[in-house]
Amino acid sequence: MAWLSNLGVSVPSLITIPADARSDLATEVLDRATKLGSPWVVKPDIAAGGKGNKGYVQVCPTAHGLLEAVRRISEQASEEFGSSGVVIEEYVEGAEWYISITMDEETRAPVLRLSLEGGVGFDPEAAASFCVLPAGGLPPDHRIHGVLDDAGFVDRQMRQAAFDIMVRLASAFVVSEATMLELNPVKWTGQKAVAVGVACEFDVDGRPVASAYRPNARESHSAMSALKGQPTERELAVAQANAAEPNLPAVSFVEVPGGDVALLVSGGGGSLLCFDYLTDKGFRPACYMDSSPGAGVAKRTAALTAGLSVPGIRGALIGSVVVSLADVSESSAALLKAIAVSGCDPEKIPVLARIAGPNEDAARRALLQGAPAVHVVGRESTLEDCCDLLIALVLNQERGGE
Amino acid sequence: MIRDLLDRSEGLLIQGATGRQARMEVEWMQASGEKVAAGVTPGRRGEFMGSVPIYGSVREALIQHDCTVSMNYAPPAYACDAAIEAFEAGIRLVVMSAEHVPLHRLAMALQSARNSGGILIGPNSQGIVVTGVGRVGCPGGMDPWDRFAPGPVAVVSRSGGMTSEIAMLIRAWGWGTSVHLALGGGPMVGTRLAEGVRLVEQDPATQVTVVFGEPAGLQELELAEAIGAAEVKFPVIALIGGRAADTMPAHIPFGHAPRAGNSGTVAFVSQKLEALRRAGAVVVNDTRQLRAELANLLVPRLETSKTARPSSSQSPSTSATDCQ
Repeated sequence: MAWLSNLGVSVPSLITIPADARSDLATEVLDRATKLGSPWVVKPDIAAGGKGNKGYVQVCPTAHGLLEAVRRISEQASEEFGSSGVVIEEYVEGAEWYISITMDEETRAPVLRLSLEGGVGFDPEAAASFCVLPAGGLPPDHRIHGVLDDAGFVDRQMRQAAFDIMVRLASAFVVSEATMLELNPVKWTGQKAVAVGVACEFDVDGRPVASAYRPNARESHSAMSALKGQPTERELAVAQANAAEPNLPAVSFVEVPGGDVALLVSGGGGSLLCFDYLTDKGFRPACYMDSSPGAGVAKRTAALTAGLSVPGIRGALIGSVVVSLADVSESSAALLKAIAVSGCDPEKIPVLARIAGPNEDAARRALLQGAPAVHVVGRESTLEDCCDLLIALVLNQERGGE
Repeated sequence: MIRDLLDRSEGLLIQGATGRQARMEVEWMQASGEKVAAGVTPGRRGEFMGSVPIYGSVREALIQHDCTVSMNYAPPAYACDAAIEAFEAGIRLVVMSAEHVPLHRLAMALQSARNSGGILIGPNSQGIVVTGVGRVGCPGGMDPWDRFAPGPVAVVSRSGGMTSEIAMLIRAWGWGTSVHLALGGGPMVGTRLAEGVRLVEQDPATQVTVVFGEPAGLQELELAEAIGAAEVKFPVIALIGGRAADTMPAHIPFGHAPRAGNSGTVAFVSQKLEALRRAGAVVVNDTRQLRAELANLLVPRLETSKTARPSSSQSPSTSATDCQ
């Protein structure tokens, strides 16, 4: 909110109650809240969309209700977003608008949306007027006027207020390399427009200079990252390996609760194919992985170790599509290390490796020497063949290897 | 169109030419017969990468060389601006290798492509193959012509690895491919599935298109609309990975991009498959079904071709070529 205010967009007066606030703050909170004047609005202290839809925004007319709402929403925020900070805002009375700019993946350009309606449950894609903005620059005025006309902003004062917000938002969108700036609702008091609900997300791959124009981490907490919850220790280990070599492509490793097969196939498309096939056959992959050719041995080792360490796996499928941009002797070296680090015993838990790509002969030899219990197949086996073979190995192992 | 660009140009232009990945892939491209005319790396004018001269800018390179296609290996932070430079200098087709590029710069690069009438493939594209003619990038690695055979099947995929995997399987099954297009797996790409299908259909060898889709975004629904609106000429066989992800929470990033994109709209794989089926595409769940459906489509064509030219009964891949 402070960020938005610095852009020149009016926001409600508010009190922030940080996540680490003492539990005996009631008197102090009431003192400060009284200065805002009732009723109050209590919400989690993050700039993620959808808070209203989830019931995390509460209007409180009484002091007792206020303290109760602070306690409840703090608990809910802690559970959902990993931070229990809340804000108490002045309640702004007025008509509700919707304004947003998103980097639209379908249009492949920034899209500005505006509506005379807004608030909880508003569907901007269905209801708002919109225009596609030029990439990397501000839209010419006539485009913004076009959106104002389409959305039915006739009153001159109201129109000027919306125009002003959209220009400021578009400027901020460009320099901060945002992917979404959403004001929902903006309340029109009859005198001024106040941005009451704010959600913002920024391009994680944006240029370093863009970060200077962004709000602090708390204000820009992404809804998506908030939803992800706490990573597992294995996901954390892969994240650490990625962080240790920031100049090499990252390896993605996601754990799936309740899985029984470590699915460690790259790239992403081949992994999806195996995921579906194993699921069709009644198995449940315990993880999903994607690795670029240049990721290197350390990151591959981290991902393979993570997969082989998932508790309760009955087997593991390692391999790659026949991309041939990755040296597969690196993959076999990573697998040998991962087996050693994870303690996974291929004699007990069948491990099938599809080795296909540059230096595949050397990779095969290394695996035969270092881990002879690993079943190695080549490019003649399709990904579906590999899944079938792994299933047979797992079932055979569980029948006692007869 | 891509076939013409590769066939007629003096050779590829390589942007970000002096980086590690570029050096490796250029070596492989040259070893497999690809012509590489020039490289560009700002500040490295006058150097050579093997036999390839390096220029400081695309404009400078194009004064000396007749290039229309750029393979862009510039690092993520610079790749989009390099594409803009290429389009502004007159390059017609840019394939971008980098992933995790800044989205705002990518939007600018796409704007530049639109303004100049150019085509951007990627980011995060492994490249393009026109089987038997050449390739941009290194799908197929060091020995592409041992993996891919010419024939009537185009492959358009959001997954680079699966592009090559499918093309290789098609050869192993006794047929061949016309053009393979790895569109790039990112949430925002220069050429989307429907556009890619229309592009490969322009190739005179294409008679069937195989598409590999993913859970994220709405590209597959767009393709279904294009097929339904008769904007697609040839039969499409669609394999979409990630059916099992429909039952998983949307924030788990199955495939190359999060399923819940910035537009906020999420389509389940089952919805995509249903839309494609209704539009008239053949939908398959795995590569075994793909083989069976390809046989249904190709064998009658092959028989017709054999009837027309009974003397051309040769190896399977040659037969597939014959049916062009």
